[in-house]
Amino acid sequence: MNPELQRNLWLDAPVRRLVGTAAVPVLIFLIVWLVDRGNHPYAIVIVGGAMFVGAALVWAPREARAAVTDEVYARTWDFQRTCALAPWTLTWGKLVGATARAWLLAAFSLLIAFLQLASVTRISHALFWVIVAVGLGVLMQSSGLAIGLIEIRKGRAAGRPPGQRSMGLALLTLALLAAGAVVWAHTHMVWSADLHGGVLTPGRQPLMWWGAAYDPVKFAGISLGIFAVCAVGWAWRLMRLELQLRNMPWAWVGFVVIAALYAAGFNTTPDADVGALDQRLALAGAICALCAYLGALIEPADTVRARQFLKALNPVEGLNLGGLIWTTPLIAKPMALTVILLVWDAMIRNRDTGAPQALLALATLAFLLRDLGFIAALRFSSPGRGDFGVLMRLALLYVAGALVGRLFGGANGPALFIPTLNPAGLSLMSGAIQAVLAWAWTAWRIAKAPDPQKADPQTVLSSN
Amino acid sequence: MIDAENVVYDYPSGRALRGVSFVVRPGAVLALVGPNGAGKSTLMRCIAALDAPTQGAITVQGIDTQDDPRAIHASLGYLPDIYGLYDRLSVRQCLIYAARSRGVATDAAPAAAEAAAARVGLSDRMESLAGHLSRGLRQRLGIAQSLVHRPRVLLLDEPASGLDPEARASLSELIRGLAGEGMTLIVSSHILSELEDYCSEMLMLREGEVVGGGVVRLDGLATPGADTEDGGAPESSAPPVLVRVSFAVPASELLDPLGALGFSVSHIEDTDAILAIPSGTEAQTATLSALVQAGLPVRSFNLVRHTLEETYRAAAKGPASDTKTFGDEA
Repeated sequence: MNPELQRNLWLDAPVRRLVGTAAVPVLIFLIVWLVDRGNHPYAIVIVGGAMFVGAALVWAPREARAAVTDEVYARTWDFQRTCALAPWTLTWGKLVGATARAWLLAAFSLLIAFLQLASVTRISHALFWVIVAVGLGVLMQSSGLAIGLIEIRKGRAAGRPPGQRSMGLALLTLALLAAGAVVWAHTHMVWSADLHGGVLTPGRQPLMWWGAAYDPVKFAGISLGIFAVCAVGWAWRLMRLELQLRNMPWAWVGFVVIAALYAAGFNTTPDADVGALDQRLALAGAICALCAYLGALIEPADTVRARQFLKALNPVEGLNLGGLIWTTPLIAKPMALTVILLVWDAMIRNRDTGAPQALLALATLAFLLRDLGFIAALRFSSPGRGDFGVLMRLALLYVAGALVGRLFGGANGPALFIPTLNPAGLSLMSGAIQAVLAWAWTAWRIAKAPDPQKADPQTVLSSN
Repeated sequence: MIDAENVVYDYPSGRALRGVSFVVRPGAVLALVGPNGAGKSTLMRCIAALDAPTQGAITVQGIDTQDDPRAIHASLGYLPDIYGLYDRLSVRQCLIYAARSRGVATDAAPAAAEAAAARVGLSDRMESLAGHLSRGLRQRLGIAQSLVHRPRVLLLDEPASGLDPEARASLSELIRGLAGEGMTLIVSSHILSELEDYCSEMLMLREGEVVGGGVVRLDGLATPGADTEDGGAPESSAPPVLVRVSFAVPASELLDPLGALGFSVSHIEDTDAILAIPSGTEAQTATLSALVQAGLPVRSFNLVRHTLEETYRAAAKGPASDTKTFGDEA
């Protein structure tokens, strides 16, 4: 048996606790049956689904995160980091072992819900939803472990342990809920899926992706499975970093490109050929921008690494390509792809729809660069600052800027603070100036950090 | 065995190690000393491949810590200054997990756990929960976990911190035993008296830099008995040590017979003579035997020992060189 799995089972899943965990769903289903008496065919399915959500999508991700952050609190993480286990062994040992009780509860709930759903619909239909549920669980749980590892890395750079509460996990849950709502709205409202009849079936038309037609529900299920595999890979790569192994940077670029191609495949106006490329570029650009935001938030604000990157980039000392491979920030590659895609998009818009639309695309790009610089500056000025605080400041910048612009600048005022068509040129100019200022602020923050060669060693070591 | 070359380590708040270079011989017990904040723990973490140096390189048994950190992890044992245990696991479970996670085969892990427990005197506590152990016993369990896979190199960061005198004595005995088996140890402490009993070499750090010229051999201070890689006899090239011989008559009257026997007298005090002899137990035995056989009235025969404190001060003031020996300084 995987030693890490065995240790987790010793700690968290002794027989007594497993029996107690298994007794909970039995008791709940018994109560539901006593109350409902089989009158409502979906009562068991709904309760089972809710219990699965609680166990697999809330409890298990928390446990997966705690599987690494608790090691830091208990000061056993260095002991684990110096073990001889392969990163993958450690990853799956934690994913399975630390969440064993949560998955016992989830599996029991899912089994009962599956049996009930299969009895009132079809086995294949029920099985499809089981696969979707497991995919969701794996996605969330792996992301929970990855978020825990990111928090450890960020905490190390900030000289403090990870926080007890995980804003990353909360944001991920919200993002997943939002994505779920979008998928549901898309299938239910556009394709008129029949939820009430017990079978979610496509309505008027199938989903078009890169010109081919797909069943939207199955497409969503398969997409979920692929993203779940990506999440497991993400956790594994972060575990490798914690074990001091170097990750080749191509996987991140590859993920961004594939995600951009995935998004570009959707055609929101399947009947119109005009502007299809424009739309695809915008969607791909949006995904690359999202990855850049993600990279800006998850990478440790480490001035040592930032200086190494700047040194490797310094043309005076000679470009150090080897150094660049290992020190290039996560945001660099998606940001470069976004610039390429949005400039391309602007050129097409300029040709097809005129200059204002092109300027809007460029203004959006300028504000994206401003945002990334703003996030970097905030994080380098206080590496311990939480992601939520950074995002709130960014949101405040947009809201307050738009209000101030409206109050003092009239109808054109908001263009100074948000990318808008009225007027797009002003928006572009303002965004570009702000982007330059934000990145200058970041550079100043990195330069202002204590020079390692001049810092007092006593102060250095007492603070670490 | 361990070779550090111009190691620099930067924290975001500043530089912790400033071009540290040194070599540790196989089988040596190196005392890593220096005041709080000198960079000892950072250096230990770099050797253990837990942190990558900003510049420079460290090799352990010929393996670069940055090229193959996992091989380093598998090949050494490391006990940090502040460490935790799995409090809800028994001592046996802790040790079996440590063994298995460090590459010991499944069927060999229970025996390895038993052996490690026996080594640190925890055999009678195998079923106790780690959380129920006293501080001294927790320290023993921590050490047992770090050596359960029988590493060739063991790093102990402030191992005696917070231990009572009895537990410290046990720790000294354990480290002497490990050194006697040929293990290479680096033991850090800012309390020099802790290290006197078992260290054969010393490296001083201050403000992230090596002071005292590099690794200092402590031949006149401690003799763990493992000066060579295979744990055999000391190196023939080892520098001489000093012995204090007390005679029944004034030592000044015995200068001629001592010279005739080929001894180098470095100092005399009343009835005592300080002789420089080759290092090692055999040389000491031969010296005493020669003195007695020559009919000299020997009353006592002792190796001259310096406290580590004295050696530390002397080395800190001394000129720079790759390796210094203080056994020949009276």
